[in-house]
Amino acid sequence: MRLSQDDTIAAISTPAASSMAAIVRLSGNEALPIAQSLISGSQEALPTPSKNKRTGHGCKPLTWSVSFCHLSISMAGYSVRVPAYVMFFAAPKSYTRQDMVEFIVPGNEPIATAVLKQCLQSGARAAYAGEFTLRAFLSGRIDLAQAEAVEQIIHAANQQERIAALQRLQDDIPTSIRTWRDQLIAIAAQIEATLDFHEEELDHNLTKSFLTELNTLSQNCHHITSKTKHQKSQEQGIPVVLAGLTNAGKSSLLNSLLGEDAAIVSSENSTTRDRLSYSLQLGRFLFRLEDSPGADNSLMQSNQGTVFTEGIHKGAYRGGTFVCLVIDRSRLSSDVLQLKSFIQNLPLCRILPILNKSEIASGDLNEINDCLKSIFIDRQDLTVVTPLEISCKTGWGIKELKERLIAEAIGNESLTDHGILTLREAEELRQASDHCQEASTLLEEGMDLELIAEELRHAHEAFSRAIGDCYAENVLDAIFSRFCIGK
Amino acid sequence: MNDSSTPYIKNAIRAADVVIIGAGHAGCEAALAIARLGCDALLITMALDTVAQMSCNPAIGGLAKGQLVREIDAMGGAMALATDATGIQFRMLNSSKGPAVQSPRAQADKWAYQHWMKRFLETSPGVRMLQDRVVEIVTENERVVGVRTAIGLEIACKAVVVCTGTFPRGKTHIGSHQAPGGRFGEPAAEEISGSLTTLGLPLMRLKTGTCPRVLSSSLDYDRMTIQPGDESPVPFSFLTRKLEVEQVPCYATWTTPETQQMVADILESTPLFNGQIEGVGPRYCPSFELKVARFPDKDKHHIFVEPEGRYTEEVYLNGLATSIDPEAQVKMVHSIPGLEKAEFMRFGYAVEYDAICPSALRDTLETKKIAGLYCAGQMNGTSGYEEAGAQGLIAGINAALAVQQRPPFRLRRDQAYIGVLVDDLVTRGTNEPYRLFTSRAEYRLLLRQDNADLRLTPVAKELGLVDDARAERAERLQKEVDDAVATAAKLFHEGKTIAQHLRNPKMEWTDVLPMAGGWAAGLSERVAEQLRIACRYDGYLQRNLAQIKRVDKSLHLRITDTFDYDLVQGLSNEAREKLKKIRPETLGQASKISGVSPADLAILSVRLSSLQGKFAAAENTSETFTETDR
Repeated sequence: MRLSQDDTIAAISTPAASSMAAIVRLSGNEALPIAQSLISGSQEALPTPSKNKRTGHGCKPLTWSVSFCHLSISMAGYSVRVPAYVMFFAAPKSYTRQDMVEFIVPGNEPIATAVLKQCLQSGARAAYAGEFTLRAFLSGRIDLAQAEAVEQIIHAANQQERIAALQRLQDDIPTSIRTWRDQLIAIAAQIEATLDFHEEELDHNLTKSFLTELNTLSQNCHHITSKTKHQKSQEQGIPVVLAGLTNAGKSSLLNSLLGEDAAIVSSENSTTRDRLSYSLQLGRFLFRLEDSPGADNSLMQSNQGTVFTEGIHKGAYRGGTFVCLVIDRSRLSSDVLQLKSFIQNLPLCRILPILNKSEIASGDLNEINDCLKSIFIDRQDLTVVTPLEISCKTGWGIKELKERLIAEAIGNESLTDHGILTLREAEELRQASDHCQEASTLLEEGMDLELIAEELRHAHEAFSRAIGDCYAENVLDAIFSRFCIGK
Repeated sequence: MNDSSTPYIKNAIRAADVVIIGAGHAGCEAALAIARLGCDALLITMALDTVAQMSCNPAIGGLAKGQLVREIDAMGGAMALATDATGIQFRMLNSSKGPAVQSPRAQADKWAYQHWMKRFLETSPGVRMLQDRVVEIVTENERVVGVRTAIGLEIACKAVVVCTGTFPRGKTHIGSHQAPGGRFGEPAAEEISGSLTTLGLPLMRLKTGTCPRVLSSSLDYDRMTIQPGDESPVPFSFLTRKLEVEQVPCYATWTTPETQQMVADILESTPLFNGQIEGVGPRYCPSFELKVARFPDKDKHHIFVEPEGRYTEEVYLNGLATSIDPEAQVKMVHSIPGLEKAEFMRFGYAVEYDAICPSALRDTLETKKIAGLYCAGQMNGTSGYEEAGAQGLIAGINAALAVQQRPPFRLRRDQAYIGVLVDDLVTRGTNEPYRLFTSRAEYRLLLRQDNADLRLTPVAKELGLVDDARAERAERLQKEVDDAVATAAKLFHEGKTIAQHLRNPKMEWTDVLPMAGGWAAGLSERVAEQLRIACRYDGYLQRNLAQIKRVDKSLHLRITDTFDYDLVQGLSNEAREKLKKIRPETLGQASKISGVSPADLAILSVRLSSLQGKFAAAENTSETFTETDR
């Protein structure tokens, strides 16, 4: 990533959706003049440079201001006047410790975009994702952990997470990591003492207890990382299988979710010949949507059924794969038998029945429920969650589906007393776990102690990267506080 | 001290390139390195009869220290040669453990060692020796121009290496008895501290201790365990082909609960605990009273009886460093099996002395404040002959290079224990006498005593520290090792390569010999050893090498002396203060300062990179910003 802080960056910092207001943000030395160039007429909406702190003489430096003005914006070839609040924060008392300007404009996406474009034309550079926070970090406004916490708050999916993230913003590394690190140091110290003081030897009982401790340590680290969201989302995303009969609208649903033509959609049967998967970021979760070929009875009996089952199998994860069973609501009653035989082949999974094409179908809710009941009657072992009605054509219900997916993902991760681990920490702990495991294996095989020490050093480095200490001093401190060692 | 009205005598001793103050283990190596690089070295010592004196135990080497001696040797130093010539017992420590943690250690005849070293200096072209006491370092515009001595000499020079050991304002303690002195019975160097302080260098007060020496014939060796030397002793120096030496044994015994109890009883009144001694002592080599205080539950401690020489009855009681009063010392020693009737010859004592805060030094061991002023050894807050010798080597090399206006020389942490030592000292500083441990080296598996010449002789040759013949020998050996490793990876036996067989720690060399036909038997012992280690550590060495490559290049970004931290927005106050005080020379050094957070480093790195970019664009030769470590 470019680390330059010298230019002025701009971005829309509110979601690209219709709302009450949208915010366009500027940060950098040129923020003030660029903002000024957007303001129409001779309105004194912003402090003139002479009032600015850096050039001011004797007068009290201005740290912030808010005023109302009109922006002259060019939209689709027309020059328009957009009402806006303009907020100014003078360096260094701003989030980035640079001069910052925020325009609060009507929450209409084209308007916000036009304002941003105007800023870019006036000399600002489009900010990279997270670049405001990066500048806050680089200017020392916030530290790394806080920067990560900001990221987490932004992507927090529920209240519980927001609280955990906010706690992180205030300090601190989960205490369990420190405890484990200290346990590791204790073992490393004993081994290093054996290496650095030649009259020392590691006795059999100690070796045995180290084996147990290292295995526990490795498992603990492994446990916490596999419990957090990151390992899954880091790899390929949380798997979600889109299943259903041919032409129920799986591919259309996929497109609605992804917002682009990701799969070839047609009304002819089985245009989706191969199982495909797509990434979908919702909040802080990354999902892997697995599209599968349409299944009908004839195909089910041939090889297609196997392909589908394999799809389920491949996507399997703890607690059963989440399957979105897309059903054509307009044909629900006539498809019951086919669906019933379709689900016979499913492995254990959680199923969300999605009733598509609700724009052309009307039907009695009881009737729908009866149909669904008879579909699942032979598979009581499957978990079927509350059905959802959508329309891919009109986009109705898609938002709710996304929320349901997020809820599903949250349900699958258990936030422990360890709090939220950042992606970075989870990765470090995974490495620490591997090195502890390797150390234990080497110890058991009777390999050279210095190689075991090497693994422990790597494990410790991994812990330390999460916490921030140095190895030699830690270990030597431990050696000298615990052992009386001669010459 | 010369009366200030009397003019200094300027013509008695001709000017030198470099003056070395102090002829201990640091001073000797410094003088020799300076001379090897072709400069004129003047070694000034208070007593020519105690050159390279072993003030504490009569031994060279030990864990991590043995590696240092090998490294000094690989770069042409004298310590290993002196040990081989005068050693009376040789052991390879940790021989039951892996090669990376094995270290040579030798008992030396301490008088023979001194005489050998003195003669070696006397016969080294480019080294002059002078008995006198330096009282002042003369500077002009914060640059060294000469030294002044106690008898009134003023000697011009371009650089000074201060290797004054425990002598600056040294003060010895035995019980309530206190006397000025760098060693017991020898005078202190009272004036040099003042001269350094005047030059603006920060000093600290440290303490170290020695053990009692007793008469060998008064001891009952039957009650102790004999510790003989190795059957086939391994020489220290890569130049020594074979050791022909009649070895002298050491003996081991243990303290008893009575020892513990009697020291515990008087603890409060000992100089260490009653406030008499203020200096900070070493944690790793605590005096016996400190062991008793810190580990009250441990009822026995190892004591080693080590001969001070081949032709003396005086023996050293290693493990009993102490400064308690003489009566208590006798009682303490007599409570130990085998030592019940020990006749005291010298009492154990503590010595307090001034040392420079090592954070005032560059990684060349030159002071940041005064150009041409270098420091090495105990002066820099370390302890140990080997640590001192290693620093003497580095300070001497850099003093000579500066005189010759050549670029400075540094060893990286992944190159040598010497690099670890210097880096630890100048970046982390120390508040106790610093000792090297193998655990301080993150690349321990690479930095072994067995390959010091392969690692460092080529580097030394580039500098001009070793002759061509020696360098060629190292190069030839390296080639033979490379060939052997390549061959072992290609020769198969029962479906596995020889290299794979050698990876198995349970596989003896003699098991492997028949597998490889005549090939392995034809390898020289050194090549075979390198091959075995290369195979045994294979994956780990590769990982270490990969790690070295991965180390963030930005850590090598150099920070100029004039860099203004106040202009860097966003540094935390703590980091700013520490950075201004310590003035690290690279971003890597800055990263090791406590209180400097990753965020501070990121900010600094951005600032340094942008400066580097600007300067590189502007003049393309701005060495200070673009120079990275070798």
